[in-house]
Amino acid sequence: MELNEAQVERYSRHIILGDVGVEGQAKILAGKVLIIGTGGLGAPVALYLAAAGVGTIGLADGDVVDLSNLQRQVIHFTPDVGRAKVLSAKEKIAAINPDVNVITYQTRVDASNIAGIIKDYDFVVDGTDNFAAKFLINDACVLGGKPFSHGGILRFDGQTLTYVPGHACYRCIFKAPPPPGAVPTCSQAGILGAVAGMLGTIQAAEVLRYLIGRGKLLVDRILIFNALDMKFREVGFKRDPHCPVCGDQPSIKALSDERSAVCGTKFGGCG
Amino acid sequence: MSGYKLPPNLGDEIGALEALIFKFKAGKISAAELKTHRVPFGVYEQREPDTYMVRIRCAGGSIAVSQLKAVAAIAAQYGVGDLHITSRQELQIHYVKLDDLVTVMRRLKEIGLATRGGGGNTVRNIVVPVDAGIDPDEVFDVTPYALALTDRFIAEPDSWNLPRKFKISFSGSSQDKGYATLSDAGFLAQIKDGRRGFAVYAAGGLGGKPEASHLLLEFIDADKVYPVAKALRNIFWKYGNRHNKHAARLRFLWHTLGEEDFRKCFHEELGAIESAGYLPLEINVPEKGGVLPQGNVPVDPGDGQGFALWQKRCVRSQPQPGFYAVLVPVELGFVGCAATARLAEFLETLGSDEVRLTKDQNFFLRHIPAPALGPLYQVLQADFPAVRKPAIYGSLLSCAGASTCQLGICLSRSLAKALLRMFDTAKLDLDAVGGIKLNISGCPNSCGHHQAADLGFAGKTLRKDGHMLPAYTIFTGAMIHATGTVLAQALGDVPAKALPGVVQAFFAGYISKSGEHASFRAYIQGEGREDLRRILEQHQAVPDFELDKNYYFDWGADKIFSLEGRGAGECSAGKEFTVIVKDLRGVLCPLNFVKTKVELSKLKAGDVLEVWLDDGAPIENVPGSVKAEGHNILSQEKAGTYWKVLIEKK
Ligand SMILES: [Zn+2]
Repeated sequence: MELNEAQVERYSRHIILGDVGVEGQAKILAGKVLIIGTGGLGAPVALYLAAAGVGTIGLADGDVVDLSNLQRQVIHFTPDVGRAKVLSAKEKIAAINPDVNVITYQTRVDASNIAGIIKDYDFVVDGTDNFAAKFLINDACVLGGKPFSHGGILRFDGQTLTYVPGHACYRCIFKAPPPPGAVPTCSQAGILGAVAGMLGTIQAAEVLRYLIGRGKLLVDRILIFNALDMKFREVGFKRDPHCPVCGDQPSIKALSDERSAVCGTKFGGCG
Repeated sequence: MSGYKLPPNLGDEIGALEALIFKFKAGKISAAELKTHRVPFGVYEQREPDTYMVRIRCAGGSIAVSQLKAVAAIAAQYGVGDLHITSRQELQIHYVKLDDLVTVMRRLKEIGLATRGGGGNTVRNIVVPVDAGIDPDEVFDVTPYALALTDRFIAEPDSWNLPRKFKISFSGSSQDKGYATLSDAGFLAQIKDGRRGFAVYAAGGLGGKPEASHLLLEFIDADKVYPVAKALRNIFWKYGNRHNKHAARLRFLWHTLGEEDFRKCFHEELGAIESAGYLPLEINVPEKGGVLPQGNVPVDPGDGQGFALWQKRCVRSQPQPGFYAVLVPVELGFVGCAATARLAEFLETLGSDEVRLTKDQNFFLRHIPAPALGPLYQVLQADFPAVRKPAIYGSLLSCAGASTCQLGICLSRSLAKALLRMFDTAKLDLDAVGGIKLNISGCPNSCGHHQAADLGFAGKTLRKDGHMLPAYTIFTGAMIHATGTVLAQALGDVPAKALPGVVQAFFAGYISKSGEHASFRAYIQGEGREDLRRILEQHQAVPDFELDKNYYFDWGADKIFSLEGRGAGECSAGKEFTVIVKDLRGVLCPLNFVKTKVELSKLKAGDVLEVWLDDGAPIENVPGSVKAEGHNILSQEKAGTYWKVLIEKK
């Protein structure tokens, strides 16, 4: 791939980096990333990946923009209230970087459609707001051999890990969604808007580092932070051979929709 | 014959190269940096460590007898006892040690010869047909124009830093024996309204994606040769592709710009040169055919049949009554220094002052008085065994091939030797075939001129059951002429080991019906092509690797054929590499560093990038940043108001 003059200038601060360079930028431009959820996490992820020049960005979300979203979902603006989130986000991406090809899926992902949606992408970002979707994305990515970034936020807390085939998955730590009612929902719990931005940009950095193949991803470890006291910590873990989806004798061999609280925690998340 | 004039700064340039060699030996500069300076000096590294070949400019393919004698002495002292005649009508000394390079250059300078422009991206040797001045069909002798243009161009720095090599040729007649229609810039003699002038051809050449030149100007006055050649060189300098040496020759510019814009750029440049004012070439037109020799002419001892046969094969009359031109066949262009010296001494006794070098790598003598032919024959017999053989022994042309060339696929020179052995034993009447253009290239690049051949071969690989074997594509029927040059066309492939058999059968077929055709050339452009196709089909079979490995060895090879060791170098017995130049003047920090990285990303490890940077922040920042990424800064030099930085990619 040969960069044109405008691209050399647009991406110059990437190209300067020894670990990115022309070769890394070319990989970013060739990258195809699917973002599931265009809310609190999906918004910063989409903005940074678009600015970075990721060649193809898929957006999957069935919701429309609500006035209460604007406190943290920074890709949507006040006039967007009532419009489909994926269309609102697509417009912003086009304004940031016309090089990016955006594909929208104006639907809630479920067991029946997720495999078909993720199959053409190099990497999947979980920006959803509920446990059912998080487990579904995990299972679909494990079964489909797709790397993905898990992210969850609530109140002042955030957590994220990255799955790449062969390493520990989300279910290796969290075997199953908590039963409905066992966790507070967003409406009960609330979320500091900037926490969504903090976690989303970490996820975006994971995507970019995966595409260029440099550095150590958040693989086999989970990063947890609390923004009230601003403390970060990291917990290492290993792939569980008894994991129901990625273990040696998996019990989950096909996708199904889990039942759970719409906005679960600890950390179902609050997109 | 006055020869070309050395530029006044040649001594300084040799001195600068000497300083670089010192720096290299002291470990202060890398081999790569030295290479960027020595290749444009016509110095190529050979495969054996610390040995170099030195290419000597022989403008017009001509060298004075006294110079030839001196070159033989220099080669005897600093080489390994022989000289090589190149297909660009120059002389080459092989196996010169690094420590002796500058001495050799200074010795050559003392006798009026330079190596500058023998290689690299430079204006190469400017050539004329070998019989210019004595060709009865020529419009006029073009030799003085090649010499005068050489004088100018080798004194101009822009001749040494082009995107790729630049070849200029002259021809005296529409037969185009100088390949004016196969050159970057070609001049074909014409006379219009009693005035001397030229038709100008441009943007053609052999090699990768070969192409006949395009007629650029139907007629220019002879005093416009200089501005026209300069305009072509300048647009190449300005607009040529410096990024990809495989798409860099002027013919690629013709296509990237398109004919219309190419002509527009050319005329703008020509207009600028003309309005700035220029001196036309100073042409020293010799008396028709040069100065006739004087002095003691030996008597003719003759020797019967051999002498008569030799006269038929190698001697032809000149328009100047009583004088003869003599072809001295040199097998594959290699000639001993002692033999060369003896020939030169004999020519001196005749008062003869010039020897020409042919495209098919032979000597060509002129102005030999009739009574001297016998003694000359005796001198040649002792040293040049091919004088007793049919003309094809001398006309067979081969590039150096994979034994010394990094790009080589097949051992072309070994194939040439195998063909010569076949000629020795096949009992063919080879005189009936004549001195056809039988040209071998070891790879698809055309250092062996296979696309200009009557019968040409280009090395390639074939596979059988997963095993590689050496092979050649056969090309036939080039027609080179002012009215429309046609390159030789590929006919088919044949295993290398089967090739002598193919040639033998093809020659035998022609000889059996040679009476039916005006010449071998006419035959091969007509029904010969179909005959050859049939013969080719009969020679396709390759034995299984397990049963007979002979086909899997190249000629002259002691190992099973492979492409191991094949690199991205170039032909003609050395390694070349290209320096890509990027002008980043006016580009601010840090975008100049970004653009440097962009250029480096297009290169492979070991390639060299030259960037031009402004003084101040750019030169203070960019080289350090490049170095921090692990690349090698070979040099940074101030050039007026800006800096030239040479970077070797890690
Ligand atoms: Zn697992």
